[in-house]
Amino acid sequence: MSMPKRLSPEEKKGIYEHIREFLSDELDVSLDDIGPDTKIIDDLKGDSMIYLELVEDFKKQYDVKVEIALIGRYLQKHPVYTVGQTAQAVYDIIERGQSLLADAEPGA
Amino acid sequence: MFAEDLELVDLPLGEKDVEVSLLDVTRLGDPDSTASRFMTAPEREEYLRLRHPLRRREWLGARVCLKTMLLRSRCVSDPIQCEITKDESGRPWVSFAPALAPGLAFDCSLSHKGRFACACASRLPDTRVGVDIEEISPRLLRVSKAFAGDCQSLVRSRPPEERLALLWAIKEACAKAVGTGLGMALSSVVCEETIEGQHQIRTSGGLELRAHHLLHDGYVIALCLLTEDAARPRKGR
Repeated sequence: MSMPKRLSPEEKKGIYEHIREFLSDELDVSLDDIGPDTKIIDDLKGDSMIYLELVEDFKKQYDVKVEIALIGRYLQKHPVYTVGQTAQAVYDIIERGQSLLADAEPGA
Repeated sequence: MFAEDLELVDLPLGEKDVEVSLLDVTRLGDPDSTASRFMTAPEREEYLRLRHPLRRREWLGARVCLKTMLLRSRCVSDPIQCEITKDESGRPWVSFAPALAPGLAFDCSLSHKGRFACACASRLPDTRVGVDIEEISPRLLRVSKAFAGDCQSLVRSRPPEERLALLWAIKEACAKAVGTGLGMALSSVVCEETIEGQHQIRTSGGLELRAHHLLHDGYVIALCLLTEDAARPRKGR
């Protein structure tokens, strides 16, 4: 099981920028067109698979061992549409690890 | 005057009273003039809020596909006699002009990928539908462990890319029928192909759905159906 960790503001900024660069590369969109309120599907013509690719990318980069089904349950409770919401989801996954839903699901 | 303009491909997915059709969006004429012909004022406002031109085209294509199906089945005589909105969970819903309303209780679902937009219209009572189209491509191989591990063994043998596209499309179609988002695609789902192209689905939350799929021109199209009775989770599974 991976240990939860606390991300510094600089690390969060780095993750946010990585998400922007990832989306810019994958969707062939200028970085200038990607901000926190940008909708990944409606504004950038992304698809649901791009979220999965992003999560897998961060799991490898941060050596996060969270079960994908747990991330699935988290995303059912916290749907993500914008770049900012996606960044927050990634922060939560990295920081909370297997305890991702501990505050939402008693006994989880 | 509207329906004849567009070539839809009807997909025989094997459910009575459920129609699924495809529209090649590259053959859609000028999107803005198409939107003017097919969309109600609130729909046009939503269309104009979309910034990306390709996203606009696919958004429009899926709705034009559904409205053309309703025109062909004579549910409406003009596409602006019906309006496609979304409920609080993001599921699309067709509402009809007041004079047409009695007896036209449809459930519907929309999808798009690449050059195709896809729509499903159902007359089945007490049944929610979800449709999804996915391109068979190597892209899915990169993330296969994240979503396909739970149901590999129960789906019949196929080339890896086709199987992954099928599993992803089925999970997405189930999520649309249930009214959840990406989370379901990442959750544990048991998918058993009982007859080729026909599936029984059990979600980790205890829901049971039936599904169908077929291939078309390098794409997988999946249809999932959730009856109201089956929407009540079973205990002890």
